[in-house]
Amino acid sequence: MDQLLIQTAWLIPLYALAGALLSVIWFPSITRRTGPRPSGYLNTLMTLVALVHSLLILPSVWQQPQFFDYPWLEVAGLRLALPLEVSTVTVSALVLINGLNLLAQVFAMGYLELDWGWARFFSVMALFEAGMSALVLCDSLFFSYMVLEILTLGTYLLIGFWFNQSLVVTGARDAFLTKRVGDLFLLMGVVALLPLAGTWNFHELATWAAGARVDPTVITLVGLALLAGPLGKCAQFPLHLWLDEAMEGPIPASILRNSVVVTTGTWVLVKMAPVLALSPVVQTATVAVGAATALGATLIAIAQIDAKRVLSYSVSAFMGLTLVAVGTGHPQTALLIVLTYALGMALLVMAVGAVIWNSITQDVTKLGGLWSRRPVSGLAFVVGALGLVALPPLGGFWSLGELVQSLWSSDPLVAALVVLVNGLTAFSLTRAFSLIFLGHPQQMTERSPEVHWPMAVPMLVGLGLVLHLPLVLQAAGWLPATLSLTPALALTGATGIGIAAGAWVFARPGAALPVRLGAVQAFFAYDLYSVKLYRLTVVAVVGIISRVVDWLDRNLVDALVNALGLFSIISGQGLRYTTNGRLGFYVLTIMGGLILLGLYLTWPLSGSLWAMAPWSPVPA
Amino acid sequence: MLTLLILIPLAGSLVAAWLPRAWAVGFALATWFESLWVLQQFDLHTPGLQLLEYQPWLPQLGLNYSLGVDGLSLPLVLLTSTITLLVLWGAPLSIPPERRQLFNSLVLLATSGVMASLVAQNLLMFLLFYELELIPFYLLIAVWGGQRREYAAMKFLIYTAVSGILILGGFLALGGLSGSLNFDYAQIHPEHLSQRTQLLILTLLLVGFAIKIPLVPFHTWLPDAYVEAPAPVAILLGGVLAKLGTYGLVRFGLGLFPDTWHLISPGLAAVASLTIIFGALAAIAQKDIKRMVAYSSVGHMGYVLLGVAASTPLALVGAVAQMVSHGLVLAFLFYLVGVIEVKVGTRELDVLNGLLNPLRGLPLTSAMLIAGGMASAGIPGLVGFIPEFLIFQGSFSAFPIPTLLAVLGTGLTAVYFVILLNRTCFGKLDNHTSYYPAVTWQEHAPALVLTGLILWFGIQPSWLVSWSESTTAALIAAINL
Amino acid sequence: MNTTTLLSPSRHRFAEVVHRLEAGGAMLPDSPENLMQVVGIWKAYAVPMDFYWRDLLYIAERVFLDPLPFFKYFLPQEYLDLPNHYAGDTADLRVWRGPATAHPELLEFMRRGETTAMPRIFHHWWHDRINMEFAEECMRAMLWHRGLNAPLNKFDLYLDSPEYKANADRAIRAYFRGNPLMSSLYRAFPDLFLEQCRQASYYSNLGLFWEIMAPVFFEISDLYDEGKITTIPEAMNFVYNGIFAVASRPIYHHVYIKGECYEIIPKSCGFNWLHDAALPYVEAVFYRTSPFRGTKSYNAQAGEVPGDQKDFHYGVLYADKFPVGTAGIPPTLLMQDMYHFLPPYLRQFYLGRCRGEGDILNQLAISFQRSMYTVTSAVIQALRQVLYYPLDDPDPAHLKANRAFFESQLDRFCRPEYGMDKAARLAEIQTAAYR
Repeated sequence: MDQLLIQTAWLIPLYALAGALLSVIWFPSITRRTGPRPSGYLNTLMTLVALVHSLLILPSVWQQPQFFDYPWLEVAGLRLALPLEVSTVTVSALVLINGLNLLAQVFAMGYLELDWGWARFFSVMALFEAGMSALVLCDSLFFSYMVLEILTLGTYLLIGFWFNQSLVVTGARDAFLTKRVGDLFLLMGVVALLPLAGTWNFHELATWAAGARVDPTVITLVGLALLAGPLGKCAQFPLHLWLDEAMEGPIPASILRNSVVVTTGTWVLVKMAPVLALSPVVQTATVAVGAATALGATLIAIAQIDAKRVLSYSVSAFMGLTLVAVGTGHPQTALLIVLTYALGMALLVMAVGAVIWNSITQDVTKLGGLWSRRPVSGLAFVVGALGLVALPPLGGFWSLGELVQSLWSSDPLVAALVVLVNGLTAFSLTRAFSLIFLGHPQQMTERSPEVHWPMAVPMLVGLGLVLHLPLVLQAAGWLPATLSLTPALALTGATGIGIAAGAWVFARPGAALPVRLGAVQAFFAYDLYSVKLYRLTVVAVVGIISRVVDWLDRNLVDALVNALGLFSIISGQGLRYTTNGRLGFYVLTIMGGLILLGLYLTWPLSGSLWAMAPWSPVPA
Repeated sequence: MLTLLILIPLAGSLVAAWLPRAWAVGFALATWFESLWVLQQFDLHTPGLQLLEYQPWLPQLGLNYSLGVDGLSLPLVLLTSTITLLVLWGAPLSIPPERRQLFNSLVLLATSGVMASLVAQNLLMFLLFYELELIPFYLLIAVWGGQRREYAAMKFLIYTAVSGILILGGFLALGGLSGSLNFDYAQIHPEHLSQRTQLLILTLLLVGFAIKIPLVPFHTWLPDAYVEAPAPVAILLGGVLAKLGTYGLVRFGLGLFPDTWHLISPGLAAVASLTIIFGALAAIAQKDIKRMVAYSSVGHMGYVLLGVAASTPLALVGAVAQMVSHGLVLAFLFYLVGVIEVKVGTRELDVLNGLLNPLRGLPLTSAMLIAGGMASAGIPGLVGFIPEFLIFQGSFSAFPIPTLLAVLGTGLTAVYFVILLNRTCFGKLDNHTSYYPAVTWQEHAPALVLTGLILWFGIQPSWLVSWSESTTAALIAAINL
Repeated sequence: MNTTTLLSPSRHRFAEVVHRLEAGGAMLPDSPENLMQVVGIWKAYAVPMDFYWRDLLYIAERVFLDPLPFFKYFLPQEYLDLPNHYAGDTADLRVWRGPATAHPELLEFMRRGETTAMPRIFHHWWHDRINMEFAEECMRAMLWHRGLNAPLNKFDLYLDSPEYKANADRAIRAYFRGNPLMSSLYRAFPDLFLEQCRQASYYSNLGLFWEIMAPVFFEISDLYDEGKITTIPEAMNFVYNGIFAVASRPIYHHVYIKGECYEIIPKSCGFNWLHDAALPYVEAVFYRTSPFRGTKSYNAQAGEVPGDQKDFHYGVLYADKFPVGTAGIPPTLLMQDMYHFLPPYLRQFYLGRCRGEGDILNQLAISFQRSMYTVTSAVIQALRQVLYYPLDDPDPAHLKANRAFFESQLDRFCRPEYGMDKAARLAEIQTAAYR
């Protein structure tokens, strides 16, 4: 039975996919007389099935990975078989993905209770679940790339859920294009890697990388291309902008996106770590981008007034930390960060979502005073935040602790940066908490009852998960074997200082709110003006070049070819005929002539046509 | 019997001119079944020509009625019969009832000609039908086209006629210089010619086919022809006729000049990447969705050329698959654009909006348009991905820089399709103008069939690539001898 | 008539509408087609409304603070039989001549739905049911928006009074008696439950409001069918007279816990239907509500959501009805509810134009918008009657005051802030082409 379940692990992505396809039945242009909610129930059920299946096989594959291979395409010497790895890590990832999607979907039933687009929403959510499940199961860079591309399309569709809204439209566009840029670099890397390594299978790549002798320039270029894909997925500088705009989408989608969808990039990086390690330049680049994003995005987060964006920039920041971990050669630590981060972030997004659902505004400066009336959301926010940052004994402490400890002696500067980012994140989240939950109620929060059960229950479950995560880590043996005192103290201290400072600035009785810092604040609040920067550079350049090309095409190429061709005279004549109506006559003449010619040519043939059957084959 | 591939549509064209539409569709269906029969008879593992037929025609001219199929022509035969069927089935949407019988007749005539060109095994016979083709297409554009139809039709006629003249020159030189008065493919042996002569003939053929494909800078007839043509004709032009250009390039360029091919292939690869980038950039600047799709076609034929230029087994399989994929996707996109034009009354990007609205928009058409755009942009799981990927993977070792530029081209493809989809499908319907008629299931049907094909070949690409694998492998082997 | 002779023509952007109001008409032009749409849609609205008010009261009085109210939309027989105070033989004031219990069409729909007769839970799961979520959203709009109909609305202020808190406290304790978990939670977070209790009070408020509107609409529909209402002004005046007839109906909140009644807001507080329910409802639901997530960005930096609740303008008078049926458009739920109960003449009318069955939701949404402009007209005329002068007042100064009032009301549809003037559909409903 166990073995049967393991052998059918490929079904796990397919459950969700089946739900996604069946949802089409409830599209409002198809099912008219009844509503779309069954699609939500169906997809949630499918997720539950996938979760149970994953949980059932988890004990059996513990420390005993199994590999499967399914042929797909074999052409001209290229054999593409889908390799699956069913192991501790991949099945744990499945549990995380399916579990969080289950929470997100139940949350959606509450958050989107007034929405008629359930079928489309749940269908795309299921597509994401299927895609991510396939991604973690598959043991091949090529198939990972395929899945990532499909998820890029999924992002477009999911952000575009409320397509009547103009910022949604631009957000979906930018997300698609930004991620696609990353994907295409990844594709270049995929294409270029095969001639070098001869395989795309991750574990074969690891073996190859261990003894590879390659041209350093080539492998550096390949490595940089392979890095670019995950940069887009993880919303790292300079491909980070889409995540901000993605916040136009519904909260339940953000729960999934902020917690696990962004980590698909980290996942691929971790799998590719041995290849990336072949080039020191690539490793340095990974760390540099990750560190810059971690610090920059955290500062941006602090300056945001939009509750969802406060969180979305922290997403970029934590993904930056996972890049740092991979770049410094600690891929397992990156995965641990992903795990502790995903739960904490999911909880934070749910808490914020619950508040904005019936307090309408997302502007943290217009919220406040909710703590006593909305303790479920409040506690979810607090626990989520504490689980995210490094505070013993919760999850974030162990994962960040492991990272800082491993960098402490080798890269003290990077370690210090991680500590700093941790402190700043604590500050940022304390700020958000103070503005949303503490202080006095304002107009928008004067009447704000706690949300109903479809949103409250997932929050409570998530709260329990974050609180129990350390126990799970311990049981699984994933806690750092030892954690020396100095890094632990540094991290905890940074968290404490961050919280204290945040509370002092934003929650102290009599604090002068709102805090204004002029140009500096604006610089960060508007995301380092990168929207403007892009508009002035990439967007403008493509726009101008395409218009130039179009102009050339209309005015130069056309004229030139028309003029230079042997047929310039004919063409001039021919085109002139069109104006005086004699065209039809000419065409008739040509046609008549051609028909006569054809008859003449086929005359000898026609006789034999009737005469002979069957047709004689060609003499060799 | 391959002759039936030519005769059925020819007979249909005579019948359909007088009888109701059902007859035309019936003949197209019969042609389609005949092409399936050919597929069934075809042995996928034999690289050479199969189902041969031979009959002397005008031996004094070297013109023989010689037919055969191999892995190169088979996919295109299937594509042609499928698209013809869909075009005739879906034609009532864009073609008004008066003179529709003439339309049906001309479409079948054109199909007959394309089929003949594809299965012909004699240079002159190929060329004869390649040229005869122009008449039905010319009329189809000139009679049923848009406002500038006469200009577009004449431009199309002249460009393609010149293409024919160049090719004729090449063929005559081939026949004359190689000393045989027999223009059967099997009898042509240019390898005895000097390299210089070979190069000269190859160049003639190359330019001839480049106009037909078309490649930048010979492409300017295309936007005019595709845009002015009614949707069904645009589908035939882009989905079927353009393939004769790439087909000719492989058959007569790569196939007949294996020794000289490597001399021109770097240049071809450069032209290919130029075409890809140029087509994509020009598409970005368009304000008319049909014109945008037309330019997308320019770019996508560049991928075929890249694969042909690289001439590795993988790239060539990819190139043949890309011809089919491009034919399906382009037909799909032109059909959907046609639906939008008929229902909404405009193709202007700045006017279109919110068609994804489930009740008052064109939701299914919009959803399929998204699928089509994504297939064209090479998103995995749809038909466009594997051919492009095989071309990239196959060409990378031969021409790394053009290949990377081509990858960049797929990125730009995504840009204009997202622009198109955002403006057309997303957004809000205007309260004053958006009272569009609904699309009926009958009108959806051809697009739904294409959706099925696009998905199926995306998920199961072996079907797409296995047709041509042995033939292309043999072609490449000849080069590397 | 007499206004036009005594005053020079209005120069308001909607001068034609001002003149029509002054002549005792509605904002919606009078035409047989408009009348058919308005009355027909009121009928279709009243049937689900009969469910809404019963369920709202059921939730307010029985479900109350249940943290996991899985079955709050499963109305017990007791509430289906609950006699409407304005219909049937037992009525305080018989507005509708029909029965006081749930409407027969509603009962038939609850039995068979659009599918077939099956246990209620399957109808629920198949989403073949009344969309109570939208009624709750209306309730939330009334709860969340502050200063509705201030200063006449005392109900909302009462929710913050010590008296209310004491009453609520008693009810909450009684409700959680014997449940140590919830009781201790109440001790830890009393405000959590107090706020929920306020919400329950608004459930009651809206339920009591709609209890009256349903029979009003049923009666107009019956009169129309009998040929006794033939113009838009007649229909409007029926609503107008109804408003005055029931204005003093008490608004209260009673909770029944284990058979005992807890008066959280006793009738003796003197809150009345007009000032504490109807006018706040019109302001909250017809004018304000909250931006549809499907059409407006909630991004704080984009500034699309107004900073002040007074500037909210997302109610039915401003709503874009073309996206109905799409994601993120809450009124779709109401349109779907009305769709089940369209009178045959109205269904035939819709089937014959636009896309027929295909976009019937949009068509009826636009009819609904027309009908709600008519209800709003009745409210404006009622306010004019209360605050200003009769329409046939001979004093030009009084007529001027009336005109200023009408114009100020129409000004709400002309404000440029946040694109309110473009959102308002007053100009569109003047034509029959908007459908």
